[in-house]
Amino acid sequence: MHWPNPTELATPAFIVLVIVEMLAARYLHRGEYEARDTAASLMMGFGSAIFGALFAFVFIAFAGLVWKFRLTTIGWSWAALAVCFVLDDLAYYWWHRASHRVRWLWADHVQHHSSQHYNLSTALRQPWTGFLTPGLVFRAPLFLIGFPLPMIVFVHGVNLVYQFWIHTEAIDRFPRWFEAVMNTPSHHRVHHAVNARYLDANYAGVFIVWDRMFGSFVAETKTDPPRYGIVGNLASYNPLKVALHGWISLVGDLAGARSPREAALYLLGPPGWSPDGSRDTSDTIKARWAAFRTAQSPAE
Amino acid sequence: MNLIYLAGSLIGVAMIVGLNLVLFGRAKSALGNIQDLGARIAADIPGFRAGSGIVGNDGSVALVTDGADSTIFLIKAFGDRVVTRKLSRGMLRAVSADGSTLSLRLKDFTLPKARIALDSEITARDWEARLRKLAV
Repeated sequence: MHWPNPTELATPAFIVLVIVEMLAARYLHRGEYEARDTAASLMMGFGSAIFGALFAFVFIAFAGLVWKFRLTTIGWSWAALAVCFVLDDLAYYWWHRASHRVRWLWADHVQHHSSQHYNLSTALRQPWTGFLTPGLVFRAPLFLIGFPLPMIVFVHGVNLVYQFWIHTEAIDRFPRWFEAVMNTPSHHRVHHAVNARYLDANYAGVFIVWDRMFGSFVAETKTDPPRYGIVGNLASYNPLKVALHGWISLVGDLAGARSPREAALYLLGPPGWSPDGSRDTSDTIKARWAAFRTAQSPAE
Repeated sequence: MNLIYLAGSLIGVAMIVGLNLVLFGRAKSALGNIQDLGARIAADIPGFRAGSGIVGNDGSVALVTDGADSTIFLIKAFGDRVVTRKLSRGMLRAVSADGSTLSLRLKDFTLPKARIALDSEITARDWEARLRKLAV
């Protein structure tokens, strides 16, 4: 059976929708665009496709190796496809959560968060360096269960295509039932925000129920509009710098580590971890914000 | 993936960026005054109150101190947004004043240097002295 590549099929729609959103931003004031930011995001998407193709052999080799130890062999059926889709989304949730909490994975994923804008072009700002991370292990359970590899690749592609349209400020909220189950622009704006209340939240790909189940859900609040980007925003639109900045910083810290334990914590600890605690992690930022709020209104 | 797909993608990128320029032009952020900058920093650092500060003559770079502990923040216009850096010890590689222009070199991959043109040489020397204490 031939499985289509959802991302390739959706590319023309991506282009059309970016143009439509750009017009909405210009004439309806729903969203914001900046040409150099857009160029950087799109070139990151272009580079990601190239690096993905060049290093596809890493995925194929890993998947082939793990698949040999599968529990069973699942054939094609609509039910299998649906279960595979849901489980892939669950695997995505944990990969995504780890990508925000483990510096090694963050060095790659930070590239996607590095824009201070939030629009459909931001969805295409994809990392180039996934092959340098152990991110594939999160999908190993799918191989071990015995889903066919092309099916896993297909559902993952559909998952990524779904996530494209939620990178927008042009859509406010959907009906409550939809917001309760599905990842939406509102939920994902929270995920891309650097406001203290929104840090480390809403990791879902397609189904926001994972965040509700695992305690990482935060609702968007009108009184605290999201500010996008990263803690310590980049001062460059150069795609090469966007792709490498997380790695340069990580390698610099590893080179300066004074013990294997320090090196391990730089690599596996949260972004912002430092031996003397002089830098901010998302936890310290949130704690400082919570303390400030309490001091401002102790009755809350 | 083939060459036609790659070429088509690049053409698509160029078209979208071109349309972006036509619709929005080249936006530039205005830093405003020290109080405006203090409010920007306070969005990230709860309770921040700006102390003293300087904004370069072209309005694209500024230095603002925290009124509580004199920590110095560098703020730079970046497209239609701004970037902010807390100038902690070790962050600043070197600082120099050449006439009324203050030059900073930072240990920062995407913001390695900043120049602030000021009105007076005395102000530049004053801030150079303050920043020199932080330079490695």
